[in-house]
Amino acid sequence: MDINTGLGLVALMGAAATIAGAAEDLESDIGSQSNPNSQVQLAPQVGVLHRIFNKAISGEPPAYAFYSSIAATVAWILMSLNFNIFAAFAIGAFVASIFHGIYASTAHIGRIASARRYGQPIYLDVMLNHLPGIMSHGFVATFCVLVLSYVLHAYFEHPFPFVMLAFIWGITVGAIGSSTGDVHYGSEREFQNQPFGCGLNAAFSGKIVTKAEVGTRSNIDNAWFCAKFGGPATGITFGLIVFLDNWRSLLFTPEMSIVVGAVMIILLVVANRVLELWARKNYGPYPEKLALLEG
Amino acid sequence: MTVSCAAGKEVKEEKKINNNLIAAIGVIVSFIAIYIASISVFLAFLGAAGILAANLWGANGVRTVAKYGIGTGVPSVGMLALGGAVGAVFAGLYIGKMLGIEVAAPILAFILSMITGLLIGICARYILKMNIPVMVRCMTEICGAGALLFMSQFVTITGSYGYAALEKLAEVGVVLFIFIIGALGMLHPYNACLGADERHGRTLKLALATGSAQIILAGIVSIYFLGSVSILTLLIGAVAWVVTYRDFVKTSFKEGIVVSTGLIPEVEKK
Repeated sequence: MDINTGLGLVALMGAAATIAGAAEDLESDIGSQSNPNSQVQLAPQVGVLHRIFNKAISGEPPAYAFYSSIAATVAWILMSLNFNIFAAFAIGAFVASIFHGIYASTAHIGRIASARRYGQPIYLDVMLNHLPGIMSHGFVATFCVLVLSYVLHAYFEHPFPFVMLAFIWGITVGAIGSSTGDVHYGSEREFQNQPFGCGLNAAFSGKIVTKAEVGTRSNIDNAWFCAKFGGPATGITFGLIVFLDNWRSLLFTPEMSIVVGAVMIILLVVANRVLELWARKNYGPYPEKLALLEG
Repeated sequence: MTVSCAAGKEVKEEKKINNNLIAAIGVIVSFIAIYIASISVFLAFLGAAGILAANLWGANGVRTVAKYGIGTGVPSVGMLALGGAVGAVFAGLYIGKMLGIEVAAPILAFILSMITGLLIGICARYILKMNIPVMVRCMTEICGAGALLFMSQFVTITGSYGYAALEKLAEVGVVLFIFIIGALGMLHPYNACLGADERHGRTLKLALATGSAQIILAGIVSIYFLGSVSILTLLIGAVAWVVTYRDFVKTSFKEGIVVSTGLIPEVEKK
């Protein structure tokens, strides 16, 4: 393969990964999975009843490995029956989204039913309104994971089979969504009534915001909020990982690509530290700043 | 709308479900299903019974250990145990083939997986000092159930429990698919019912529903390996899933406070 075609395919993989990351994060926000979930789960226990979807499917990385594996297996079977590749991906991702919906519904119903003693109702409209959003974002994420796994498998001749690659990228996208974007929802949206950057006092645990700008807050509002920053940030993170990792191994010799990878990591660590210090200085009453103010 | 914080008092005390009975069902039914399903591809659909029984046992083991408040560690514990189980199945079937005792290979794989679980449990309890009394027993159980679930899945998909069939699955990567659907099938029930009013019976009903969903998935994959015979597995899975999912939802609605819509109720503080 010539270098230009290779770079084009790497860019395609990066683009697919960016969309997958963004869709994955917004899906987990609609379902309150992972980082924000503990607070949603805790809320009724501290007397904060809500109309928020409570979904936990064994953590995001295993859950996305699950959806991606289902989608990839179905797509692989259809491709072996001479189906068009994109039709196979679409049907595979559709089957995965059906199972996603099934598991999400049981998680929500099961968890809310287990909060009966605190008076938390199971709102049927919340379940029916949120499931299509969860399933459709999951569909987009798994479809894109299939695209990037297939490019890696078919054009870069990766030694791993297609299903295995989709499994690994599924875990990766879940882990990145869990660590990057969910913080935007879990730390900020749920505690929007607290000063920015104040750090969450244990006394506020579970006391999440349940009133919206107008009416009662739902996860559709939360997805709208997170689509401004958390979702794109997750998409860029996953896209950069896929793009930079494949870019260095495409352009450089194996030994040199390790050096380039190490340099990238050092630069990113320094940039992150600089950004963190800048943010600490400019925003938020951090504990040490509060102590200074209080003399 | 005002609700009382004492709503929990209305929940009836349930009959105790015997863990040993569930373990016995898991082992006996799974082994019978594995051996019968491997006789002919037309009987491969009987592996479904093994999937349900092993999944039920595994989910029960996860519930028992997770009741000690492991919380987010549940998936980690389960993944470790299931990873050990898959490794043990590979080793067991391979050793069985090497020794020329393929008929006893599933039993060997099961014993190896129990030993793996026992070692993981001992490490967690005595080296990592996780102060959970049932840790050793539950890790052994989850590993054993994971191995039986894995073997039931792959006998349903390929119609054989031989090492050659396992190699075929590994070559195309489907082995990871089986691993993850089994893992989520076992970990999801307790995770999905977590809360103060979690009830053993309801969690096990969800375990049956996730087991049934796995039968459907196994049926889909077996289209590639067995062809049109897999329709039987798909049909059985679909019927089992409709029945078990409906039962779980009905039970949850009965035990929870269901409203079609409405504003957030005021909590009556006592």
